[in-house]
Amino acid sequence: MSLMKEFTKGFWELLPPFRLVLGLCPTLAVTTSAENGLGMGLATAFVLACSNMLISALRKIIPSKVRIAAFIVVVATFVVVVELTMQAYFYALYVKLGIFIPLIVVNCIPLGRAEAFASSNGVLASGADGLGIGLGFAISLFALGTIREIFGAGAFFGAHVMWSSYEPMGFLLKAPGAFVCLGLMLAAINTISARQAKRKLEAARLAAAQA
Amino acid sequence: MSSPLLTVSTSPHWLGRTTIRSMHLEFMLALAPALITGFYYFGFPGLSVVLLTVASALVTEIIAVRVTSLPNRIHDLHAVLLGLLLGLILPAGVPWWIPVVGGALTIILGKMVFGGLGNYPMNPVLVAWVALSLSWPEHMNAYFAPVALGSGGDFAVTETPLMALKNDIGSLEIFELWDLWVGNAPGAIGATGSLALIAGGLYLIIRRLIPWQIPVGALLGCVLMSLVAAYTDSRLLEMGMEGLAANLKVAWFHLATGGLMITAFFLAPEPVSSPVTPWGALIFGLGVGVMTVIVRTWGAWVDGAFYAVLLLNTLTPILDRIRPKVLGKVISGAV
Amino acid sequence: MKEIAKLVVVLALICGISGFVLAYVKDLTAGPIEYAKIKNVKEPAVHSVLSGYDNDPIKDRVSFPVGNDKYGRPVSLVVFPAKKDGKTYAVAFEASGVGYKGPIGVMVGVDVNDNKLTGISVVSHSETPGLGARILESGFTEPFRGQDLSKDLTKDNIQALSGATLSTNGVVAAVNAARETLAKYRDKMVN
Repeated sequence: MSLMKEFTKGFWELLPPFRLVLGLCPTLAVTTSAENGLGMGLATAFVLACSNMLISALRKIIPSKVRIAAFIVVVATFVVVVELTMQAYFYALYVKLGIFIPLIVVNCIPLGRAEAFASSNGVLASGADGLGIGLGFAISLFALGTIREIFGAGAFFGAHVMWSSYEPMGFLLKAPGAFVCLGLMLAAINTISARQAKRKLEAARLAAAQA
Repeated sequence: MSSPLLTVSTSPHWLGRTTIRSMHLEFMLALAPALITGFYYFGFPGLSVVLLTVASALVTEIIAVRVTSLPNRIHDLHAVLLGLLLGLILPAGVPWWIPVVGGALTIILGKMVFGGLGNYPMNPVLVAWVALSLSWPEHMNAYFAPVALGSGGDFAVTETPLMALKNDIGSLEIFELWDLWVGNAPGAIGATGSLALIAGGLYLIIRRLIPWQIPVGALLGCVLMSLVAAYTDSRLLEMGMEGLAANLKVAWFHLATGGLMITAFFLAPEPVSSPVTPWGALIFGLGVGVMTVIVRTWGAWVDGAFYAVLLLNTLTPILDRIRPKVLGKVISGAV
Repeated sequence: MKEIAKLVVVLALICGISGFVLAYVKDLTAGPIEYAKIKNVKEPAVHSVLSGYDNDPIKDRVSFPVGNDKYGRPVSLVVFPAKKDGKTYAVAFEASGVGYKGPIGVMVGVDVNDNKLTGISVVSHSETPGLGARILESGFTEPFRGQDLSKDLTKDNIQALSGATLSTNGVVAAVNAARETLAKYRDKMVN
């Protein structure tokens, strides 16, 4: 039961780019298409799940004084594994994502989860946490990439989807478009959670009044 | 939060007649000469672009206050003013959907996401203009050559004086300065009529709706930077233009062309996103003028006036820290 | 002292294991990565100079040493054979000649039965854009198709680019270099 909770918190409560506001560099840079966003997100999710589990398994052995160095080595190992695998089997995507695959190492999410969660929780819980947060990241990047690709290029996964006379809003594929899109999504998510909190508060007040 | 029925404060009480609505109406009145000039030279294509932006901005604001919990302040006519300003800086040759999208972007991206009037950090009109320019550069350069009303000529897309200057500095001698001042030159609908814009701007300054420091600073900054640019340009010497009088010609050219006049009097002194203190306003204005000429002379874009305002908008919070000295002083130890 | 020793040992162990894992993965993926690189970089060129094959020329590629470069390192030539019913009827490989601004790499396709060119494609060059770089255009490369490679090609056999004689010569030189390579290693290419 609690394992499920560790897994699902990554989809809303701790949604990385919007709630933790971590990993913004790849979020802004590679989400020019749905495919790039999804590829980057899944690569990060894999690294996160594996590194979380391994770090959790080693948490009793790693002395706390060198833990950051040890975490980084573990994360970097998985990142290089992902990079080599991607180069071998998804070469086109590898070329497009370029430097941002090796940069997963310095992305704050894997190190952040290792420090905040995996170093003090069990292997299974850490795996669920890493996978959940990673998939949340992948979904966020996929959503952002989808919006930018549909309006900025009139396409979805490279296939034309808008009507034929639609003139793509090239602004969205450029850097300022990434910031604007991210900001608008952040605002929308904050609005929804503010409404949720308000509803919860009112329900509690109602229950108190009835009691 | 409900506002109190009665506000009690110490006397003297003085009820001003100025409201946000009346202020915006006066801004629109000041823009009337520029709109008339634009209509005279760019005819019905120009007028319809302006009307479309106004309608789009108004409708977007109505929808925006419906779907959000923001207070409904449509009656303050701010949306109309923003639409009018955006329409005046668009080229007359854009397809019909550019002003529609532009009006919506002004309200949504520029104004409403920040919480409406009084909260946005940058001029909403220019935010929309930049988004449009980056998205559809080919449409946003569809500037018409002016055709005086009633002369029966056809409109044709042509290059603006600033584009010509960027390609070839010799075009300084092609354009008649007087044509540039009255607006008889290719350009955005409401931005070419420099004299009309000055007339509107002077009205705003006299009515104290904008601080005089911003337009004066912008024009002064433009002249000074043009002189620097002219003195350091060896191509002018090859053309035989030497000395202050010749270099001043470059300065007059920069003053009269592109978006500088509408920027100096209407876009830069936008009340929300510009500094409020006199010295802050003066530095802000100078910055706008200087940046405009820097971009025009050495930058990648043709006109820098609008980008200059956006850049200086981000400095507004810093410029607002330049405050007059407070009277009296705190004596240490006394509580 | 004991604590420091522990820190060093644990960190060294983690780094060491990581190194082993990476070496293993690197070794595992070396083959597929080479294939992916060749496929993505060379396949368009191979595809444009060969036609009518029913195999995967990238997969069936053969490479063999062809001497040393000026630093003494061995150089190997990669040949992409086009096969039909298991029999090689044409090969494609890269050759280079010197153009106006440096070497021009050309993918050359040759029919091994009648020694005629099946097509050429420029894969790398640093010629002047708009002038020498017109060697990329199909109007220039198309006349090479069907040329006889029994003897050296000259400029007169094809349509030389006006104003870009050196670039034209570079491509012709590359094709002639390919002719020599083919004569020398024919047995290794067609096996």
